Parts: sequence; structure tokens; C-alpha cells
Amino acid sequence: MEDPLKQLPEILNKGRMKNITFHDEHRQKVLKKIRQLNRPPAPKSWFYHWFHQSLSVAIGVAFIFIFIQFAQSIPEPLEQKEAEHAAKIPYANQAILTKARHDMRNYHNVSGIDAYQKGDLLTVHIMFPDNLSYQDQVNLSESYLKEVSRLTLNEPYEAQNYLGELWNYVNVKVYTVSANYDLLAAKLQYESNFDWLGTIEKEDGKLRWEQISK
Amino acid sequence: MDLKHTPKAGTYDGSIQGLSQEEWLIQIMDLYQDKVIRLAYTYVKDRKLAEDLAQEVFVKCFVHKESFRSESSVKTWVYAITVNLCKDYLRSGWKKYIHVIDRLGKSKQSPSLTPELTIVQKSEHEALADEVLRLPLKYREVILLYYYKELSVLEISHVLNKKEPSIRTLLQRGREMLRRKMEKGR
Repeated sequence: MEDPLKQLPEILNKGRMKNITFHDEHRQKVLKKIRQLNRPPAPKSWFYHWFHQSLSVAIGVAFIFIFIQFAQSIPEPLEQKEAEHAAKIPYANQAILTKARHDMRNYHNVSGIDAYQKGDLLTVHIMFPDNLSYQDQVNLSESYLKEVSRLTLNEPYEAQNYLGELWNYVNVKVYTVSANYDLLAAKLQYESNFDWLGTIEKEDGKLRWEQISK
Repeated sequence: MDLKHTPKAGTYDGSIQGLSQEEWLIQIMDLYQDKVIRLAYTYVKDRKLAEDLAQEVFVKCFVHKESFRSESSVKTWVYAITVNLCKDYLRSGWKKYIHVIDRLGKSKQSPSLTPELTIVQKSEHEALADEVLRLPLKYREVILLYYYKELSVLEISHVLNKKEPSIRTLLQRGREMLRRKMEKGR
């Protein structure tokens, strides 16, 4: 028996496919489309160029501006860390140190006194008169430090235990030397050739003395 | 003239045997226009759509003529473009939407006429054509390319980008499915 499917071309072409043909109008549409594809793009108007270039410049500037803002908003990690560290340490005000030095010279006959702070270390050099006893030297040193501390923090004197809140943040080293000693030389080599070294512990704020030389 | 024997696309340089690109396309359309539109119709089953798709096929042939490889004939190349374009359309969301609307419309138009009754009313030949067009796509396309477009299994494998044994299997199953349907319809 013959395969009926072999008649399929005849069945379809004479049947439902009979009227399905590609007309000339379809062909013209195809040719029109391909001519449009081959046609070079029409030249753009001056307004298009002006608008396009202006827009490009505006977007570029905006991008650069945003980038700069963003870059500025991010601090460098090291700088930030240093800033945070510095903020924690109160600095002994130079004017206060000067006033304290002035008081010591005028009222206590202390011929040489100097103080400076570096980081969290406040270094104080005091040159006492030769006739001053050790206990007087200690009392005068404490008095000086109290003055510095109180005026620095601008708090009532009674509220401070021992030498005040400043010492919770700053280490203090007080060097005392005899009157005939060169203060500048002591500053340059302060770890030796002086009589007493006073230090303050951050935790308790107490001034402790130890005899270094002699 | 059969383009199967013209120089292959590897030698294209904008013209074939002295033809301009447009003349080449006109020649392709002369040879395949009705074949393409009818093949497209077997996929989409809508005349207007088939017309649009056939136009799109020829534009694609023109645009992608450089991609034509000499491994296959121009005929299988054109058919492959047609099949791919039709399948793309059938896969598209818009088609699915239209299909649902279309089915709803048809179900309202002739609710009393069942498919079985329609087949009885038609001649045996028309019933065969109907059943072929109702086959699932994977069987339908193989049956139509083999019997209607009279392509060989090798050519069908090129058009559908499948292996020959798969084409033979699909052909066999399609035939069996069709035979069962025809027997059931009698």
C-alpha cells in the first residue's frame, strides 16, 4: 500500500496552501527594508551635535564632582587614627604653663622651670634653689602640677583627687636639679645628672619621687 | 536555476556571478518565496503572520548572507532561517498571549462543531492535512520537511540542527502517531 503521506505536497499545495503565496507587495517591502539597511545614516542637525556634546560635558563634570566629593568624604585610615588618638589626650595649655612658671619664679624663688608636652608625656624641668629641702621641693612640684592641672581642665580644685583628671591621660615626668646646674644641659640629657625624678601614675594620679643621682 | 550549484558563500564579495546584492536577493526570493511562506504557515498556522515572517526571513538572508557556509545548500540555509525564525516567534511571550486570545475566540465561535465531526465532513485528504498540522511541533516539522518540502534526512538534520538518527526516530514516531489518529478518525 502506498504511503498516503507522499501525497502531502499535492494535498497541501492544492488545498489550504493554495492561496498562501508571497505577493509582489511583500517582495517590495523586503526590498524597501534592505535599501533602508544599506542607506547611510542621515547627517545629524547642529542642534543634535550641540545637545549631545553639552550633555556629555555636563555628565562628565557631574561625574568628576561626585568623585571628588566621594574621595574627600573618606579620610585616610592613618590620619583618622591619629586624630582620634590626639583627641583623647588633653594638651597642657602653653599659656597655663607660662603662668605657672611665672608664679614659681616670683613666689617661690624657683630660678629655672620649663615644661613641654609631646604626645601623652608632659615633661617638667625644675631647678630649685640650693637651700630648699627635699620636702619643700616635693611640695613646690606638686603645687606647680596642681596649678597646671586645674587650670588646664578648668574644673573646681576640690573635685580633683591628688593632681587632677589630666593625669588620667597624660604621663608626667618632673626633673629637679640643683641651682648651679645648667637647665639646658639637663633638658638635653635628662635621663642622667639630676637629683630627683618625679612620675605620676595615670591610674591613681599620685606623684612619686625617686632619687636618680648621687 | 538552482542556487545549489552557484558559488558558495565563502566566496561572497558583495556579488555573486556579477549580481549585485539586491539582484541576488531577488533571485533567492524568486526561487523560495512561496516555499518559505508555506513553511512558515505550517508553524504559525496564520496567513498574515506567515507573510510577515517570510519577509523577515528574506531580510535576514540578506543581512546574514556572509554567515552562509558551504556545508549546506542555499535551500537548507533558507529553510533553517525560516524554521529558527518561526520557532523564535512561537517561543515569544507575545505569541503566547495572542494564542490564548485566539483560542478563547474560537471556542466561542463554533461550540457545537467538534473536531471529530469536522474531520468526518472533510475529505480524507483534507483530514490527513489537518492531522499533520495538528501534530506536536517536533513531529510535525520533521514530517513536513520530509514529505512536503521533500528534503532528505541529512538536509533535515542541517535545517533543524539535529543528528540524523534523531530525525529518523522523530519521523518514525510522527508517522505512527499520524496513522493512529487516522485510524481513530475513521
